[in-house]
Amino acid sequence: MGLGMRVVNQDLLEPRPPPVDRRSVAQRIVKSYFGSPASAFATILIVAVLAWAGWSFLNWSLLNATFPDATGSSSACRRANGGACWAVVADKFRLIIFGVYPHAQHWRPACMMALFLVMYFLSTRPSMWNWKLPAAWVAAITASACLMWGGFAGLPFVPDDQWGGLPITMILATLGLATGFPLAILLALARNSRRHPVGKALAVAYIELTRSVPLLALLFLASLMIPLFMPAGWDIPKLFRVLVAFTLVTAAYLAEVIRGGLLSIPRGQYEAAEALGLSRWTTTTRVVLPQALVAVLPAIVNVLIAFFKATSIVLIVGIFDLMTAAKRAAADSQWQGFGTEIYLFVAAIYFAFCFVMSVYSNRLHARLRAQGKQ
Amino acid sequence: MRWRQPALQAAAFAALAAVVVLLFGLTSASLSSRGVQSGFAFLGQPAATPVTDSPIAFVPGTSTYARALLAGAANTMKLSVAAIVLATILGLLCGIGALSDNALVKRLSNTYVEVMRNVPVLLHVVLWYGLILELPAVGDASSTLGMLATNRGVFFPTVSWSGGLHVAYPVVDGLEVVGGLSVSPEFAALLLGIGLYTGAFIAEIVRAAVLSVDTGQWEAANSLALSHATTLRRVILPQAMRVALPPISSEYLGIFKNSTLAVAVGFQDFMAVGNNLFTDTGQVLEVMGLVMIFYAAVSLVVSALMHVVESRSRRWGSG
Repeated sequence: MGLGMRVVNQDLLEPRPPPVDRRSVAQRIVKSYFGSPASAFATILIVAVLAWAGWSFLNWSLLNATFPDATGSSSACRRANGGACWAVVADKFRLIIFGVYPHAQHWRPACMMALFLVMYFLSTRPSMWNWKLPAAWVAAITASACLMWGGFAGLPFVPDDQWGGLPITMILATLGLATGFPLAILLALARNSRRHPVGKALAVAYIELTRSVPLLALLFLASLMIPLFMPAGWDIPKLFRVLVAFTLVTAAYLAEVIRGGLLSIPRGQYEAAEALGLSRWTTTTRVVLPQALVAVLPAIVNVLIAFFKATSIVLIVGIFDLMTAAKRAAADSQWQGFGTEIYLFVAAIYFAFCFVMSVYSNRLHARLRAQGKQ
Repeated sequence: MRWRQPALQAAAFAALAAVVVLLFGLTSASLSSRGVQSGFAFLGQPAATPVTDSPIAFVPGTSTYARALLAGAANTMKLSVAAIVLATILGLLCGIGALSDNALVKRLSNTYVEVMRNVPVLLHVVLWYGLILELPAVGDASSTLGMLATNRGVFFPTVSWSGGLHVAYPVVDGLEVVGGLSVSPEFAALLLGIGLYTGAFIAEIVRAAVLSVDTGQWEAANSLALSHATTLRRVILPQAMRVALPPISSEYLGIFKNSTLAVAVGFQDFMAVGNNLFTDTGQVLEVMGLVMIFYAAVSLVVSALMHVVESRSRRWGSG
């Protein structure tokens, strides 16, 4: 063993398996739930509170609850004292989901919602992320409009002030985002431009002002002031006014998101496009925007989730959406006092939509990061 | 052709200005044809609708509309500050809990965040309002720990120091409750709804901020034998909070803007008073202008402040 001796491995070492967790199940539980005094205290406290709260909730919602019976009246609920009354949900189901749409025509909003759900699913397929998606959406929206309004081929005409419930929520959220999207791209490009200071200043002013004012104020503004802009006699339907307000607001929020995407494009892309002799328009539409939009797709889905929830605010301006339907169902004097069950049911509907969208957003984010696009 | 760009921009600006002037002209003609006055003279006239619950004293019938707006603004600030405190406490607890070693705490924090975030804030407020209105009536309420929870509000004992420690307990007197600090059902519903909703978002921000701190910091603290709590408090959170401050400040602005939901439950905040105002006077443009200036001014000032703080912290580094 002299100073000149070196040990060099001649063959490749096999990777060893990860260390085995030799703790027993009991040891793992103790480590996880009672690892330190504070942890043990927290576990005991939470278990105690959850047990009490969970038992009370179970008692109220299932054990003492009154389930829908054949009569469809509130007498069974009134007789039972204290439990939940799920009969009110069964009775008000159609009002909550379809609003005051004529009862025999409920298949039309149902088809419209199914069409929208199919379109949501198609929008998540990367194979559709080109000209096909806007074309498909235009076709779907036109078909939905024809279906909801009717007035041809034997379908009775239903004016839009009789539409209500979940279809209105989906229409407001989807159309608000769809029409706000092109405007948002324009605003983001304007705010990012270096050659058009006037456009940039206008875009900055519009975006900052729209984002600092509450949505409710803008809804009031739109629903009260748009009729003042129009010459007397032009009657703009309230749904359309609210849709205009939603378009303007989603454009401002989406513009900020898209601007983040634009800022993430490296200068090299612009320089390469210039070296290839591409015009500014071609650079923007073929090189910059596709990359920017894909990079911020999860953030765009988050904006959709936020606006899907924000549509509930139209309750205050008098549009009959899902939230208004819930309030109106809860205000029925026959079912007085059982509003909580209705609101919990509507909360479950909102939760279902928003949770699925947020799971999709997280998966998309993980997939884009794995592909190196984020 | 050097003049082409400025000329195009000037033309676009002129077109936009023409559209604005046209809209203004149409609106003025429309308003005057409906007999609606213009100008801000209505601010000096007495207001009929009461503004309850406000720190600024308001007498309906004699106090002016301007005072009503001030009272509404005070209510907005009261609600916003209270909701900000609640949301921050909840957000910090759940954000740190989501990273805990205790599986129960972690799962509870994550469930709270997911459930609260996916339901609209208006539905939160309406749910809490419904629950609070189902509390027992004043005559049937029994006090626990000095607090009275009734369907006309929650009443807390107040502690005052004058000569000795005086505790004023709320006492039922017929159909009223005398003494103590009262929280109206509307305020409580708004506070709980907005506070719990925004707390979930702040929890996510705190969680992301703590995760963004370099793992080397945790390892260094571990090698110095600092406990988990001390590491969080002394090493991680100061660094994480610097990263979290801009998103949290925009959540605070969100609370400020969401306070306008008071219109839905009948709490007289600035927006609700403005609503009463333009229902009474019909002067939509002036009142909505005032409302938008109020909210925009506060939001823009806070955003500018946050911009300054952020650029200063970036200049001096995150160390």
